[in-house]
This record gives sequence, C-alpha cells and structure tokens, in this order.
Amino acid sequence: MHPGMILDAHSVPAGTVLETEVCIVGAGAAGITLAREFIASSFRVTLLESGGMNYEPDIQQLYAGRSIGQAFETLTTSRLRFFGGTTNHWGGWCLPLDPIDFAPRDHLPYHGWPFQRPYLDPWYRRAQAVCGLGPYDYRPSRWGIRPAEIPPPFAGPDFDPKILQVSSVHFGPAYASELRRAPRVSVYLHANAFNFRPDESHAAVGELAVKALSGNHFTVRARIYILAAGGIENARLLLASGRAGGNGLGNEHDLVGRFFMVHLTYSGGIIVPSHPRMRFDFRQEGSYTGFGGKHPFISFIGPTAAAMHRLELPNMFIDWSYKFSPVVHGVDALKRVIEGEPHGGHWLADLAKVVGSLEGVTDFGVRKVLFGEGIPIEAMAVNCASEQEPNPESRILLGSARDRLGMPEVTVDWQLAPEDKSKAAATLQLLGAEIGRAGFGRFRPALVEGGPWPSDFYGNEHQMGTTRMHRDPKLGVVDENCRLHTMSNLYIAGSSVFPTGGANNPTLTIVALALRLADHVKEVLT
Amino acid sequence: MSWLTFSRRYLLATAGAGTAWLLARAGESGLPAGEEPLGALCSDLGCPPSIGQACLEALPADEISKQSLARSILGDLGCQRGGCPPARVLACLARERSRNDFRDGRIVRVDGWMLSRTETRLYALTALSQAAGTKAG
Repeated sequence: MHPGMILDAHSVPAGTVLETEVCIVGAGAAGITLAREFIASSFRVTLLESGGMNYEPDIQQLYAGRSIGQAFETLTTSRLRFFGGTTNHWGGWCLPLDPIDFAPRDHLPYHGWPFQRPYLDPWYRRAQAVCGLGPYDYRPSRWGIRPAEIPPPFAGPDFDPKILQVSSVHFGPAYASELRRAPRVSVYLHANAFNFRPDESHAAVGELAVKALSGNHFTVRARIYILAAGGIENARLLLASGRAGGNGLGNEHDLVGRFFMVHLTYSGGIIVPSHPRMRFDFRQEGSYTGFGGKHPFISFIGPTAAAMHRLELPNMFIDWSYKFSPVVHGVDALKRVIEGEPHGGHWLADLAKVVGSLEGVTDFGVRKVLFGEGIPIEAMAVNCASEQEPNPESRILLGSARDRLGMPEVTVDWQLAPEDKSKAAATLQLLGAEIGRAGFGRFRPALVEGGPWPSDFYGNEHQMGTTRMHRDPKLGVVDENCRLHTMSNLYIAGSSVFPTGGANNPTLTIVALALRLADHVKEVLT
Repeated sequence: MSWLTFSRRYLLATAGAGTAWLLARAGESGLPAGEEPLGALCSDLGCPPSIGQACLEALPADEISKQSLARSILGDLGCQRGGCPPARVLACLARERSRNDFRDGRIVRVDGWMLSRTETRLYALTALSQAAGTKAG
C-alpha cells in the first residue's frame, strides 16, 4: 500500500496489517489537525475515518444509541460521521475557554485542569490559523467595540462583555487536498476502529482492529495511537476495547464514560429595556476589518470571574435576540417596495403592511433621519448556555444492542446535579438584579430557584468529559499529556478530555489541545 | 398575564403619563395628611391597572392598604411624617431606593418579573389610589 493518499477501507485486502508510526482514529477537527501537524515530519501517519467524504445514512446510523437518564435525544443529529466530522455542520463559533474554567474552584466538585490558561495560550494562538480566524485577541475593545458604548450592567462588576470569532472553515473540504498530497499521511475512509487490543504487557496497545460496513477488516499496528472520535465515541471505543467481557481500556478506576457533560442550553428570560430607542449596538454580528481582513465576530456577556468566585456560580454564556415592535415588519416591507426587490408578486401584501403600520413607519423614518435612532426594541430574549458541573453519575455506557459492525451501541445516562439548575437560576437572578440596579430595564427570568427548567431546555452538541484529564489516575482517564494513565502509547484528543467544560464553544480548545498533543507525540517518537 | 401584556413600556415608565385626573384626586385618595407628594408621585407613574393589580397580589396581605404602603414607602425614603419633599425630589429618591433594592436583594416577583420592592409598593399604591379615585369619581 502506497502511503500518502486517500484510500477506502473496502479496497484494503482482508487481513492486511498496516504498519505506521502514528494511527489517528477520527477525521474531525482534532484528527485532521493532528494529521496536518505530521505532514512535514518524517513519521508515517494513518488517519482512519468511519465515513466517506460525504454524508451516508447507514454510516451515520452507527451513532445510534439510547438515552436512559435526562432526555438526550440528539445522538444521531448532533454529530456527523464523515470526513471533517461535526465541523461539516458547525456554526463556527470559536473562542478559548476562560481562565477561570481552568482554575481550581472549591465550590465545583472535581474542578480544575492540570494547567492554567496562559500555558495553553501558545497553542490557542496556533489554533486560530487552523480555524481560519483573526488574531488571538478576544478583547472587545480590539474589535471596534468602545467600552463606553456598552451599557451597564453588561460592562459592570458582575458581568463581562465578551466576543467570539466565527470560523467558516469546514475541516473536511478545507484540508482534504492537503492531506491527499502529503507523502507520509494515509487517510482511510469507511474504516471503523473496532477494538484496541493490548499487547502482552497489557501496558500498551499492540494493534487496532478495523472494520468496514461491507464486512472487510484489517489491522493497524502503530507506535502511537490517538483516539479522536468525539466526546461520546472516545469513551464508547475504550469501553468496547480490550478482551471480551472486560471493562475496557484505561478503566481500572471505573472512570471511562463518567463525567459526561454538555452545555445546558435554554431561554433565560426576557429583558424589557428602559429606553426602547437606545443606541445599543454592542451585540454586533458583523465583520471587523481592523486586522487587515474581514473577520466576523459576535459579542455576548458572561458573569465575571469575581462574581463566579463570590457567589459560587458556574460559567454561563449569555446572548440575546431583539424583539422589535411590529413596526419592523412595515419597515422591511417598505425597503422591499422601494428597492424593487423581486418578491414573487407579494408587493401588494408588502404595501398593505406598510399602510397597516404607516404611523409606525413614519415615526421610525422621522426619528431615524432626525435623531439617528433605530427601530424601537420591544424586548430582548435572553439565550443561555451554562456550565454543567462534573458529575460522575452522568455517564456513557455500553448497551446490549449492537450496531451493524457488531459493536455495542451507546447508552447515555445523562444526569444533572441539583446545583446545575439552582446555580443557573442564581446567575439569572444576579442578571435581573444588575439590570434593575443599573437602570437598564427589568428582567423576567425563565428559570427561578425551585422551578423547572424552561420548556426549551436541552443538552447541546458540546459533549465533554468522558475521558477526563487529571494527574491522579484515580480522578482522570488521561494524564496532562492526554495519554491514558495505564497505556503507554494510547492518547485521546477532543473534548472528552475536558475536566470542566466552562460555557464557551469547545472547538478552538479541541484544536489547541490537538496541536499540543502533536508536539508531544513528535517528541516521544524522536 | 403573558409577558407581552406585561412588557409594555409603561412597566418602566416613571413620567409622562400626566394623569392629572389622579393628581387632582391625590388628596382625596385616603393618604395621610402631609403625604400628598407621594400621591402625586404615584399619579406620575403611568402604571396601568393590570400591573398595579399584579403588584398588589405579589405583596404580603398585611401590607395591602394605602396607609401601610404609604408608611413603608415613605419610611424607606427617609421621610418623616409631614416632612416629605416635593414629588419631584421624592421621585429621585424612589428611583435611587429602587436601584438599591436590586443591589441589596429586596426584589419582588410580580408575574415572574423582577421588580424592586419600592416600585412594587408604589405600583400597588397607585392601583389602590386609582380604585379609590374611581369610586370617589
């Protein structure tokens, strides 16, 4: 087999043993980042991807499983199982975790990373380029947002204005040709990692069994294995590996699959601002050209580190959408009529809307011309993504059913601690109090102490924690270098190693950790 | 009550309604002598009956009388009996007190909204005064 191409597992003769230096399982953001880091090295790399270059329903179905705890029903929709992984449908929201996310927090059980944010900064900086982002600078003031324009409490003592950058990079299309040309990188599509088999010492992986849906099978033997299959599949594959009837690899302390976390996502409530015609354009979903190119970004707020420490709160990502008064529909219609946009014969309906809201449209026009005011804001609908506490009872298990490859399907027992809800409610209570104290408006939280989660509550697609990182083997599956404590040549990449998840989107951190892991593996191999 | 009903600007209005009708009746609304500026302040709040009624329902039953509400509000604003400043000054004090309520956790849930205790009492007093004015009228 000639290295340095994109191959299909169906074409590999059954029983073949592929020899390589590094075997990476999973071609998502982490796996592709890792493989690219070895392009200029002298090491041979084999990258295994379960899917092909495009979506295939029967491959996607390998993600199927069941939920037995808190409802978690997005197993086959929150992730994508083909080259590029979930970046094939991601929103591209990128930012590092906050410094407090890495720091010890006594009020947070099982808190803390083995290192702090500044240590990871060099890799975050490199990750920016991988994700096609602007500079590694997330201070709103550097993105054209003048601090004086941010009304309190959003720049107050308890809440911080923040920004995220928006990536348009889909890792599959973006990096396929580069990997195809790489002389020492071989990509195998439709190649499903099936079982990491330990060697005779039981302290290292000896080989990896690979299967295709067609029934074809082969083996990869590598010096280093890196599992980068996603927050749930990483745990699933470890649990399913090793000898039949065992408890999996790296699971001596019954930690693999535990601490399953996501970001808790829900409507946080409604703000009625005091001044409906305020010039409040802090939340700009636009581009900033101050860094020599157009870089899209979005601003949002979160509790300050001081507030989180003082009130023992989790982190929270808070943004909002505007609820404009009905006049906005008239303005939109007027624009279409004036600009002569093609509207499929709906001009009469548009005109009717204008006439119907004539008073409002006129008022808007006059105020816009005379005072530069915007459309009256009826309300602001608050959206939240809050941090879930690490919880050993929240876990990924193997079910009794098997998929078409013969691998046990996953069972998700997603569990929340009572504090997840009470502390999220406390954060919203703080937000409401601050909104009132600052005179910004009034707040009607959708989540209150002792009440139920809002009806739209769900656990989002940021699946984390199932092979958590900790220096103590009794508290973590992998060490600070992301290597299994009990396997000398098996590493994990992806959000499954996050000991705590913060509230920020995880992909930039996944990529930064993958870059760091690549550096480490090169050192090990040299 | 839906949030749409309750989210109208007048939830936050502190001026502009100009309900001279209420102002004129402040003296006949049953407030103790010397507390007329409070009646004037309430009249300026522009609070619709629906919100005032919701505030009444959110407060403890033993607070629900004009005398009790007026005493609580004026006491919080540092007024001595017969020693109230003009309504304009009282409005500033009330606004300041309201913000301090939020800072210090004196928050009342009114139909799910987080209102300060001071404004909740003011809206409730407004509703009672309005009802009394309607009867008198």
